[in-house]
Amino acid sequence: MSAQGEPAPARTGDGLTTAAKPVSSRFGHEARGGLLMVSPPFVYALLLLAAPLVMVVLISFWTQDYLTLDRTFTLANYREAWTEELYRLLMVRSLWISLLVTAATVLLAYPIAYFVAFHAGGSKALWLFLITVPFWTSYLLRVFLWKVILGYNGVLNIGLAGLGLIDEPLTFLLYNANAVVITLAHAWAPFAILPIYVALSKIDRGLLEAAEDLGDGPLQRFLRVTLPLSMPGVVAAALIVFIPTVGDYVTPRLVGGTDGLMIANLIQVQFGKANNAPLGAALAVSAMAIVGSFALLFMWLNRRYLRSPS
Amino acid sequence: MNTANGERRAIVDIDRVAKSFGDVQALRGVSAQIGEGEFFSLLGPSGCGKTTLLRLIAGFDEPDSGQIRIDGQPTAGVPANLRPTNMVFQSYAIFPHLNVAQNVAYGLRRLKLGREETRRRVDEALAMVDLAGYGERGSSALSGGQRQRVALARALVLRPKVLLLDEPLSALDKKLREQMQVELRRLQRAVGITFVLVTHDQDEALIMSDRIAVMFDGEIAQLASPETLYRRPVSRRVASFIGVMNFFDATVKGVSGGKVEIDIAGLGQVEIPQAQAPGGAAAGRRGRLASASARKC
Repeated sequence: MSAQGEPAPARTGDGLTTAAKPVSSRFGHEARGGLLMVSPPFVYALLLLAAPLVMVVLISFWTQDYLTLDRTFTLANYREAWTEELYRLLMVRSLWISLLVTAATVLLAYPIAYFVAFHAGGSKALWLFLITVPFWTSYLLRVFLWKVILGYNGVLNIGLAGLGLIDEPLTFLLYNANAVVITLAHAWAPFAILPIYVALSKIDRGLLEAAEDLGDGPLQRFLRVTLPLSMPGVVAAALIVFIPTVGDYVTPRLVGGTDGLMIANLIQVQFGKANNAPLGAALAVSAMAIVGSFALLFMWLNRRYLRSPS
Repeated sequence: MNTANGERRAIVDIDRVAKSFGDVQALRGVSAQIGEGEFFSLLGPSGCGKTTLLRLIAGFDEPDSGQIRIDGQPTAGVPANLRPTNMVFQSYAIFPHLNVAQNVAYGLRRLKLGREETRRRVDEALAMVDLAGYGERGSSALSGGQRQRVALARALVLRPKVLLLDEPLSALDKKLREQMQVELRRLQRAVGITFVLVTHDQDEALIMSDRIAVMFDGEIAQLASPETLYRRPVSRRVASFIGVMNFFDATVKGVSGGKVEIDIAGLGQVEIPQAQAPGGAAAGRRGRLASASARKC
């Protein structure tokens, strides 16, 4: 047995070395082909994402004097961005509004995703289609529609007055932070529903039966199996909603009034009317860093759900 | 061998149970009694209704008509989580977000045993399936055979009155499967819990079971001990499903003194003990003799 087995390794070793060459060159060929395929979008991303980002970071260390940029390195913009009361107020408010939007969106999206994943039966495709219907109109129009609904003479006030529930129109609906939260939560709902739906529909139904078999009622089963296993979707939904809404500027501009203004409105003003692009850039970079660290912290807190099982 | 069923108390009493899914009649009035401490197998080709019956016992589905009593209690309307049964799933259904010990302890939490007692019972259950020391392993780091053992430990730790096994060995390779067949049988003897096994593998059923219900088309074709099933199948269909058989057309010439004399075309006259002849053998009757001696291994 061993005598017969002796030469075998040597032979396989030979086979390996002769086989290795074509394998590696084919690999190189494949890798080149792959690079070729990704290069157009890569160049696109480089030009339209990375380059502007680098510009913004560079500008944030410069100063502007009317129309000319002074390219001497300075941290003055950051000093101003981090010490000025107003900027800090707007940043905190932006984060707060985004957190509210994220919480509201995820909490409202979860039951919808759950329904579609578990109870929609054969009409899943129809439900997913209906969820994306709002995207048929532009973001701007949808924000305007909320103005129509929440306004002084809006649908909601007229309806409530018609029912005799209020004597005069409610004014806390529009032009404040509430309106921003409502509008953003609605606008971002599909982005939250879809990842949660995907996570829920990936759950093996056998696991739910196993939990039931092992003694769990419906609520316990949800808390011990369904929810933990859908957490990757919840985390994704929360990040997808939180990150862009901190920097949203259209919605607060249109429905936020002065109490609902957010950091992005201020950044826009710096680049526009205030004619201080470096300060705007410093504010943008700061906001990006803060949002980035929030996102990382959030992912770290949920790290045990995000480990990929395999 | 403890194959007799008469003296066993029935722990599961299946009484004229029928179940349909849409137009498909999965079970057509099945009755059977499963004795306490018995290793009982439901054997049949896929689509014969064996898994449906198991799921009805577990409580994942309700029968359209008929009833199932477990330990004397009617089960109608009792959800799966309140039944004294536990299941080993075909896919094992190991919770991917929990480690081995947490998987095994899953059902214990409801019993509120306290930390020490829970740990003791989990360790005991893991030792029983030869997985002592695997408690902290992640469930994704387990092989197929290990997952199967975890599923087994997770169900047995609750000490159910009936353990239901849905094709538990079908995902394992041949060698492991044969090893687990013996192991499962040994385990069942050791814990004394009633096992109800669903399988489409004849050898598996014959090796492990006290009694086997052979099912075709939503009905039980024969319910008997492996020995009886093998020696005296009630029909050609059961015979050919149980093993690879030779079939001979024969005419009964006469019955005398516990012997049956038959005439097999082309082979001549043969005497066989009456106990091995198909039921109802009488002089002049034509029939088929199934010879089980040529089984494939």
